[in-house]
Amino acid sequence: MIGQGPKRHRGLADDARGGLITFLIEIAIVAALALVALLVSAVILLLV
Amino acid sequence: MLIKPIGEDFRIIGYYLGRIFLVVAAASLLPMAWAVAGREWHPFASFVLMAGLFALLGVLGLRARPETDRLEWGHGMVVVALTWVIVPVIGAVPFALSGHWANPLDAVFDALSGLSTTGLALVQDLDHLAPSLNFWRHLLHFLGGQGIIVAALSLFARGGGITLYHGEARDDRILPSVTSTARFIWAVAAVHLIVGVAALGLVANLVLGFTPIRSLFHGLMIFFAGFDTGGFAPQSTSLGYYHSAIFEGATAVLMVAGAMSFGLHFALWRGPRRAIFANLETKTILGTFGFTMILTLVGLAVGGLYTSVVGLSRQGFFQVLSAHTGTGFATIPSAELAGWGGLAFGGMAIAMALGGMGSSTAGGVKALRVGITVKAITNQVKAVLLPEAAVVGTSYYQSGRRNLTTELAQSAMTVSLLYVALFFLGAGVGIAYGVPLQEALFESVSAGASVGLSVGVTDAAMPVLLKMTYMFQMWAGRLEFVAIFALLGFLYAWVRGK
Repeated sequence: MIGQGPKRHRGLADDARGGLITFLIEIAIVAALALVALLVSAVILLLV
Repeated sequence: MLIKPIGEDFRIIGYYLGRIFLVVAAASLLPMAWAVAGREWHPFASFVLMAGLFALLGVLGLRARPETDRLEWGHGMVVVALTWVIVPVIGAVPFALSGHWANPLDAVFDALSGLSTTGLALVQDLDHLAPSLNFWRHLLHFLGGQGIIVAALSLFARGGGITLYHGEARDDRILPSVTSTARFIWAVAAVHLIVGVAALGLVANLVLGFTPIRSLFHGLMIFFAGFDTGGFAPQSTSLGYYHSAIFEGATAVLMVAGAMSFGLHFALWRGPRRAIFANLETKTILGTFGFTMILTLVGLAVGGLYTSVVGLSRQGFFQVLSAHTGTGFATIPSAELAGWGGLAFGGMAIAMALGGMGSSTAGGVKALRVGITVKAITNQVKAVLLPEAAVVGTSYYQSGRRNLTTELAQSAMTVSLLYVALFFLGAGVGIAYGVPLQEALFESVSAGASVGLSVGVTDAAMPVLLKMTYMFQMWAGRLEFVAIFALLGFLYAWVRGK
């Protein structure tokens, strides 16, 4: 089919990059949730 | 009419159980090696006995030699349910012989708690437990969280692999074959193990000043319990022992990774990543986490338990994350947690009950079921409110657009209701023994949703029936009921069938 070349085999570099991105996203999720907790805590303590 | 199981049925079940026991026997070599390295000869002898028992049962099972090795659906479910009964019983042998558990039942309780990644513990004088026994406690989390069955499947998966896979409460078949899926699950775990232990070990060594060996030990134990959302800890004060926000942060990353479905891990790893946040499951868990965290924080602030922003957010965030991911680590003592009344108690109990994502190591109702249930109810309300001619959309997005069928909604609601019934069962037994309502409910939800947070009810001195109730909750909650019903049906057919 035109425009569809042979499928590139996934190499170790692809998996390493995928793993790194996975860890970065996991860290970002925790950091974002912790930041939200900090902000919400500040607002709640101001209101209570 | 119920058909009575015949000899071939028992041979097939025995054969597959045998294969799984041999995998566990091989895993038993790890604590054995740890005991040799630490010159802990008494635990070593008990590990030899345990490994021998697993190996003996394994060989006996293989000798069953069924005519076919194709597993029917019912056989697979019975194999899974029995695996999760027999492995804790034999796996408790080193505990029972150590003198750190008051009686054999307590030892089995902890082995089941470990395997089901719950984390409730009856161990006594944990701070002086032999490291090899502590290692075995945590390795049970890893075996149970990653799935003994998944471990077995990654080694062998001829006929019937998919049945065993579903029996262990996993739905995601990420890759075309169940064997390659099982291997991917182990690959994800292996990479997280290397990075997680290195990160926790470095923090323990550089920030907390632990020796390198001690750092490695604590890093490994917390990794097993964190990534597999278990909740055991090498010290009796759980994560509070470390008094370190950085250590808690690194652990939180592992807890989040553990509560993510392996489908999501696969999408993060290999793409496409853009659709991840459009998934109903992701949106649901982010929504329920936000809701329960705000509820808990408001409760704590109103109760005046924490008056500083950092104190409130740190304790509230970590405890809710631990509850929602089903991990069960705590940075505060049980007695302090028992004082979290009102909204804080409500937030924590809801977080524990809802749990993590499907096909993860977390327990509880699971985010996808919650999302589907909410969507089905919303659709029903819309159908009532809108004009009769109006068409209400019945699809949702989960790695592609899917139809929200009546069967799917019924299935999600049925399992959710079974969880609620399971929580009430444990709470009822607790109340019958004089445990206050709030504490009975908290501990019951913790056991049924495989969490492990405790307000002090779980104790070696608690009544035997309450211990057995929590054990049933851990077993049924972890396997999500289906395998249990299949086992009960099989036994009933054996007795009453024709």
